[in-house]
Amino acid sequence: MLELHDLSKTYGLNDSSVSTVNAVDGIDLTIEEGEFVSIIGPTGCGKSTLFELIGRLIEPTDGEVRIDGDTITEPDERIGMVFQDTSTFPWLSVIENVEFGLKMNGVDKTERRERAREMIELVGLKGFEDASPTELSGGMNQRVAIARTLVMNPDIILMDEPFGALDEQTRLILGEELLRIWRETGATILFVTHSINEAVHLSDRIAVMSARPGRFKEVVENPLPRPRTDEVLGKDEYNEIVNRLWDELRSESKKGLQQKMEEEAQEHGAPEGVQEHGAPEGA
Amino acid sequence: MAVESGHGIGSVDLGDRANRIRIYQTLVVVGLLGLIEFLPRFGLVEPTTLIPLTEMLSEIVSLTLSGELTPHIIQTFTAIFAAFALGILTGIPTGVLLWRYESLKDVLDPYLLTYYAIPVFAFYPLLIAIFGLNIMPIITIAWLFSVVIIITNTASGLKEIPDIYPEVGKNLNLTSAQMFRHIYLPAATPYVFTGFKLGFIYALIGTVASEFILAENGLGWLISFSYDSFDVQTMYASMLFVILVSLAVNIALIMIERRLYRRART
Amino acid sequence: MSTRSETSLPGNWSIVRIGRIAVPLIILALWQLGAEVYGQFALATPLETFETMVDGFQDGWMVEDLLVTVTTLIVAYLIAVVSGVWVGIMLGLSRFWQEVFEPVILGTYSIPKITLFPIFLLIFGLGMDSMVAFGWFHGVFPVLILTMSAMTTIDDTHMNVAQSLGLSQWQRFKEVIVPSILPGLVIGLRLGFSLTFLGIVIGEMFAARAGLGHSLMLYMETVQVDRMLAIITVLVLIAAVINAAFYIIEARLRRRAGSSGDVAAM
Ligand SMILES: Nc1ncnc2c1ncn2[C@@H]1O[C@H](COP(=O)(O)OP(=O)(O)O)[C@@H](O)[C@H]1O
Ligand SMILES: [Mg+2]
Repeated sequence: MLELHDLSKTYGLNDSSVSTVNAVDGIDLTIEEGEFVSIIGPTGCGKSTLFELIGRLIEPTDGEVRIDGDTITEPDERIGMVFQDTSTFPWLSVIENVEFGLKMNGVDKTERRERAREMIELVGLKGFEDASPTELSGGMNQRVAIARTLVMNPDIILMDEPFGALDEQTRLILGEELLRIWRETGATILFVTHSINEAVHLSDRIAVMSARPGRFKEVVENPLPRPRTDEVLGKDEYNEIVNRLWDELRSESKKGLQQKMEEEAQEHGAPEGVQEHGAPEGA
Repeated sequence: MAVESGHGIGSVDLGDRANRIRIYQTLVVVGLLGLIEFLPRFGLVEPTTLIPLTEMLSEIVSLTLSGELTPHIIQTFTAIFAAFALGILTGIPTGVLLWRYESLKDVLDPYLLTYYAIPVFAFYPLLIAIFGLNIMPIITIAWLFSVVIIITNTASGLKEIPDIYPEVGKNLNLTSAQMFRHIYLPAATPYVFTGFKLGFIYALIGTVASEFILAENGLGWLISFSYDSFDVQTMYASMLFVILVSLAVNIALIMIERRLYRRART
Repeated sequence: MSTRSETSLPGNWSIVRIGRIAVPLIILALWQLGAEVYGQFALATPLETFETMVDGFQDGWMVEDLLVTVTTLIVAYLIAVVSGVWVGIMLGLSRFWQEVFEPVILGTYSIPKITLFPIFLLIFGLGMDSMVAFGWFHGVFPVLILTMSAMTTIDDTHMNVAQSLGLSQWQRFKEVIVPSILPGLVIGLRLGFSLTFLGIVIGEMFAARAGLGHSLMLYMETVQVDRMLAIITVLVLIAAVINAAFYIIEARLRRRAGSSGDVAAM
């Protein structure tokens, strides 16, 4: 069980800088073992910050993260992270990337090779063991990154827009694969996305974040049964929940966009033209 | 001259274009070399000013075979490698410091930017006055010439590492030693190597130029000595030898660099 | 690329500024210390050097050399700028010819050019002509290379617009080409200046009858360390001041390009 308790982060507090950014403010959430929870919210609302707080890559200003009741204070081996940007190491081969964490933990070579091979197979990259990530597509690199995280046997997997940089097609396929892997490993997954469709498609529950300071505006149960076949996704229920989430998000996205423009105006001295990104896709 | 569109006009075969470029390149190079060969041969240039290319080459061969070149090669490369090794030993730690302490880098930045504008070789006679006429002033100048490019490339190579790599390491709770050895070091290698490459070439230039100005032996000295003693044959032979050596070193380093960069980014 | 790293703080800024001012003071202190350790014969103190420098300007020995060096520098640099920019633009207009000549130019740029100095002496004799010619040769490459590569950054549509408006060759050059390549060009001008300067100083050190480099070697032979240091100081100051001026121009150009980048696209 993963518990987030009053988790908050304000940037720029301890370095005497003039402006501080209250990125995440008082996040409370309990996630059961084996649950798939998505977090959606407008750009800049603090999703990545929350993700880094849970993974303990950064220190919270306030609040705590508990796993099975004990508070964690440093990056925990029970938590594995998958990042949005390509995070595979180009100086290592695919299999060396996948076994990297095991190697760092002193697992001997034959064992880590074997476990890495299993994971490579699980993510569908059999045959690419000795390839360089530089030769692989973005989607394949993300598979490598997922395998590298899975091989550590984490109880909880945090994913920050893992398919964000990929095209729609690849995104759908990888989403399906992720669900299969989730079923096979029984891991708890916390999935950050800005796509309502993706969230509805994948998760048991969906937490909607407000514009900055990021809070949970609402946590919605996903009523859709699994497996989420085309038939399920064609039902009225699907449209209903998508529309409901979109309603929740619309006002926050506008606020988020406003904030972004104000920030840019401050940076550049004059307001730039209105930009369309920042609004979540879907609906 | 007509403006050519850069993005190959539809029907033009790219392989064909590359071939044409290679043909013209060959023509240009052969033309230049031909000038060097035939201007003196046809008496269009005095033989006391320029000698034919083939004569330079055969002079290199005979200088090499007679063993006359060997001590100078040894002398020059001793200085180059000493300066380069010193450059790495002092440059890498300094570069790491500048990366670690950003305000130190901010302080030194304007000076680092100005450094290569300063004619470092002006210090050479002063160093001779201090150390005497031996290999020490040469190594010092070559080191001064190469160390700063190593420093700045190390610092910027480390700074340019995408945040995402150390984040992966943090998630695995790596120790700082593991982080440096397995993440920062391999991620920065290509960029740091660019510093090595330039550092070595600068050490070479620093050495040869110092020897040329004033020394008692070395390849640079051989050029200036044979100039002073009106030995045009040896002068051109040693000149060409230095040019060939530096081109070979350049090409070798660039090839290693390309291989490193090919594995640098996903 | 640490997009997320906490940006520099106003409080820190003054520390950086103090540090920047401290750097020359530290160098002066080390110099003083070195002079005291090595003794007055090996190294004159900063104060003595300054006095010698003032004496050089009052007495005239410095002025004479300075005039020779600066005149050579200005003439060589002007020729390097005009020829480098001109050839750079010509080659830059055609991607094809640019690709043909690029390896040849880069190859020549990478060798220790000073070793070719005797050729200039053989052709132009021992005097100002050979200094100017060599200064040009030593400095023209960065101007040429950076102009050429800046030409590739010209937006094709801008050239098309110019053509459709019926601009003359000269108008196209003045209104489209120059503004587009200016940022890269200025970097080339700065590097070209430094290398012309370096080439002339080394040239004068090797063979000349006058100039700061020539006197530097003279005072080395007569062990007048204070005069050597005075000359080195003047050389360093010239290089640093001109270089700083170039950086100011570059910064200004960058600011202009950043704020009104779209104007050119209208
Ligand atoms: N290291 C940092 N320092 C200062 N502000 C930051 C930092 N990281 C993120 N922020 C700010 O915090 C807010 C939330 O950012 P982030 O968590 O990346 O949002 P999201 O992932 O939802 O797009 C943004 O306004 C961003 O500018
Ligand atoms: Mg994010």
